[in-house]
Amino acid sequence: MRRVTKTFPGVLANDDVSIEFRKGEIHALLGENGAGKSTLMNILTGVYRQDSGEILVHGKSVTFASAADAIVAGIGMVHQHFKLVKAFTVAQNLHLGWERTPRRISHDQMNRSALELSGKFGLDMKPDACVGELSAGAQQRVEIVRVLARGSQVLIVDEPTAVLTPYEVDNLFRVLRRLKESGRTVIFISHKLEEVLNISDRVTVLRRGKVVATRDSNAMDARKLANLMVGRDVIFDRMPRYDAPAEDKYEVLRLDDVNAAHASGAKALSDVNLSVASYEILGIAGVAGNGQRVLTEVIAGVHGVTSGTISLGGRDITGLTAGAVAESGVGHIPEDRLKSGFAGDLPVSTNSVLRVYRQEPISAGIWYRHDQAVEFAEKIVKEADVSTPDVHTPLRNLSGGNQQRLIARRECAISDRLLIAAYPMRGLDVGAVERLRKMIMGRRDAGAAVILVSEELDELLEMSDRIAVLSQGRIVGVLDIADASLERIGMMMGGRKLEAGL
Amino acid sequence: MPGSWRIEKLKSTSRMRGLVFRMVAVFFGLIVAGITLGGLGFQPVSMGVEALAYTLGSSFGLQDLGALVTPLLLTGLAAMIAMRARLWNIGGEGQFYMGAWAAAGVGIHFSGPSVVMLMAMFLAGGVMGAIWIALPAYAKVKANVDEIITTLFMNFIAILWVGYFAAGPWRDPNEIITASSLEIRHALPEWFGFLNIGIFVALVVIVLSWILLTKTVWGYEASYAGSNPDSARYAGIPTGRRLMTVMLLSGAVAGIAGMIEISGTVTRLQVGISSQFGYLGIVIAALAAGSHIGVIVAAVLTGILLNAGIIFETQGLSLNAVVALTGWLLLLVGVAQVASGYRLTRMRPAPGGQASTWN
Ligand SMILES: Nc1ncnc2c1ncn2[C@@H]1O[C@H](COP(=O)(O)OP(=O)(O)OP(=O)(O)O)[C@@H](O)[C@H]1O
Ligand SMILES: [Mg+2]
Repeated sequence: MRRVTKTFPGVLANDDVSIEFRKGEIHALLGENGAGKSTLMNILTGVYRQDSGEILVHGKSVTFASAADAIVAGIGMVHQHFKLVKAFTVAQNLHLGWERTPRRISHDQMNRSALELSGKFGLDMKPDACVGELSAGAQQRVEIVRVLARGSQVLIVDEPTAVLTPYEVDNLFRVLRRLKESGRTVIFISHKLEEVLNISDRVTVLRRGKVVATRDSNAMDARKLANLMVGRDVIFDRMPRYDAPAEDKYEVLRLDDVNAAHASGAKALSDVNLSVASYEILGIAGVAGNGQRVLTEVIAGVHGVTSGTISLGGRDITGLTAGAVAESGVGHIPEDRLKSGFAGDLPVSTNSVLRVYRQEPISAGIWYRHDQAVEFAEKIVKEADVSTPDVHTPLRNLSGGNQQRLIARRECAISDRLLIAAYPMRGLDVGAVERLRKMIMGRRDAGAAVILVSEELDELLEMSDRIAVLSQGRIVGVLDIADASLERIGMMMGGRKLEAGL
Repeated sequence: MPGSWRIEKLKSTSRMRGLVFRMVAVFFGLIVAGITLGGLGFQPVSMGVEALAYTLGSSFGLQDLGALVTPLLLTGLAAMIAMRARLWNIGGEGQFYMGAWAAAGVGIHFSGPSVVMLMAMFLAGGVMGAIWIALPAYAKVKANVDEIITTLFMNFIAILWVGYFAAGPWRDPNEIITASSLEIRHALPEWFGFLNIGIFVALVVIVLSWILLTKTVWGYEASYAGSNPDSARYAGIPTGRRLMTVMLLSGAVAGIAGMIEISGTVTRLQVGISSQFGYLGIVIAALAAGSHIGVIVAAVLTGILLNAGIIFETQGLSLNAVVALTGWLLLLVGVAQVASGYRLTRMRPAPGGQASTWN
């Protein structure tokens, strides 16, 4: 890419960016939230068009009017939010919208050709499995094969590890290395510095749309990378633990024999018993898809229970609406911010007041006060360090990490009693992760109870006071932080009961 | 395909760009229409000037225009209210007829001082319009049944229903040529001697709707629920109730349009009292793109077009040609609006043009 510039109304997203991606390398792209990484990749794949500058493939200038053009030129992207059809099988997804798929094709033929492809690229998959039932890692493999099958020589992966378990990350890295060895180019976006150092050959750092530097990864370490990203030294220190005196603690949330079902009728939670106290962070560990989502939604009042009771501060809140639960001081950072946390087409201001619009001063009686909403939004945008031209911008136009900053701040602000945080660090850059950690610890230190769902065990171990392990909708055990270790949690995540070992 | 042209969707587009596109479209449309009329032996420029001069420059013209703009304001608003919550009300036509029917029923069967009667008719028109959309709205909210189809179906029922009453129970025995009801003797008063008070009622309804949708907590919840129902549920907004009420409101507004028509412009209930006002309302709402001022502007423009068409008709242009002309202009404006979200780019070929060159 040579001298690529892209502006959005009020934002210079990419400023005179020149990067050379070489054959047979894994090139990482790093930068703070809103630095312009996704925009740049969207230009490279024909989703957006640059205002000026050019894309050169093998030295020849090209113009892409659509993603299809980019694919023809050999550039494919695996988006952070997969673009597969959930109700279709793996084989059907691979053949969907591919010009080489014959007009009429039998299931057997499709499955065979899918197997062939999976063998060719060395990626395991079951052609006749339904995509909706696969784990995030398996879906990602399907996406990768889909892109490679279309002849891609350049593979872009945007924050691929955010949704993967550690084991799946190892797998992905093996695949990416193999692609590199076969002469392809991989462009890898991540906020996790260790991963970048581990997998990439070279790394380019963007700051406010500009290229700061392109370096050999071998010559870098986490501190140097963070320094390049932020423009100053970043201190990686551990948060001091603050343990509240025992007599101050009281039970905030209690779940008694809670059962819940998915919309399909399948069991989602079985006999869950939990208790969280004030001044306490309860970590929830578990492989993604073992009931975390329903657990958080049941507590927040978004999802109903089939039996059992939930009480908050001694009051039975089972069956209360989500609005009523929130009003009793419960904040909820959901796992899919765009789908449930926001209305993407509406302005930032409207989205910022979602939790407080019924209260003074945003409203007075039946009247909604737009100017107050704007003022409130400007305040939390500033506090959360969200980069946006103004609060009238549609929320969808914020970068992924900036959306996350906004929702985290919005929910923390109302969580006087309880904060439910599902994967709150997803998509945040290193600086923002530190700030959000402080904010969550701050809630705890102010006496709120916190439920922290995460797939990063290190994070859970650093932040939690107790850790509950969820497996197939059951709590298989609750560990005091003093007794918790990676191995122990790992074993329990596999579904083994506490008594079983160690 | 070296140097081929491609249409590319813009990710973001400005209001200004949309406005310029629409103005160019109207201009282009008028020129084409003028050339066509010229080719048919008419004098397009003088006809056009004359039509405009009559419509805007005489009290008769303004009266005619007012009679057209009033229902359009309300049916346009009705469709727009639904659109703001991402819902389609295609049933404006049916709600218009049913509103007129209910108002006529009150007017025929009860008697009292005109003020009371008009208020009762107003209420009846609004309530009936809401009732006429209640079933589609309920099906949408409860079972996610597509409201486009259900609201459309209700139109056909409404027209048959009105036709039955006009030709049956309420028929005026002295009317021999067309089947129409007895006369409704309660008419909305006129202001300034030529403008029916209906247009002020319509404007008041628009202002009230603007206040409700943009200035109240209810309006906040309704637009949030329409924009992302999943997220509205997460926030505890009673999503189904809000969307249901939005639909009912939309129906009521169209019903009021029917009531005003029956007590202002025409005084008898019959099939044909709506000159496609319900459907034109959808076009107006689409042009207005969610803005209340936009509804007023689009309704006035459409009214002028319709009125000019009626004048052309008196000058020997066939009705079909007039309808075609109006449709042509509205179509162009609509196309321009969509087109402003796209742009044309010239392609330079990718090297080799095929993925295979990579291998
Ligand atoms: N469609 C759009 N319209 C307007 N502004 C946009 C649009 N897309 C992105 N932006 C702005 O461009 C800037 C760069 O965004 P981009 O999504 O590229 O960031 P990023 O580096 O991917 O950040 P993150 O790490 O948070 O994902 C941001 O300030 C964002 O608000
Ligand atoms: Mg991004």
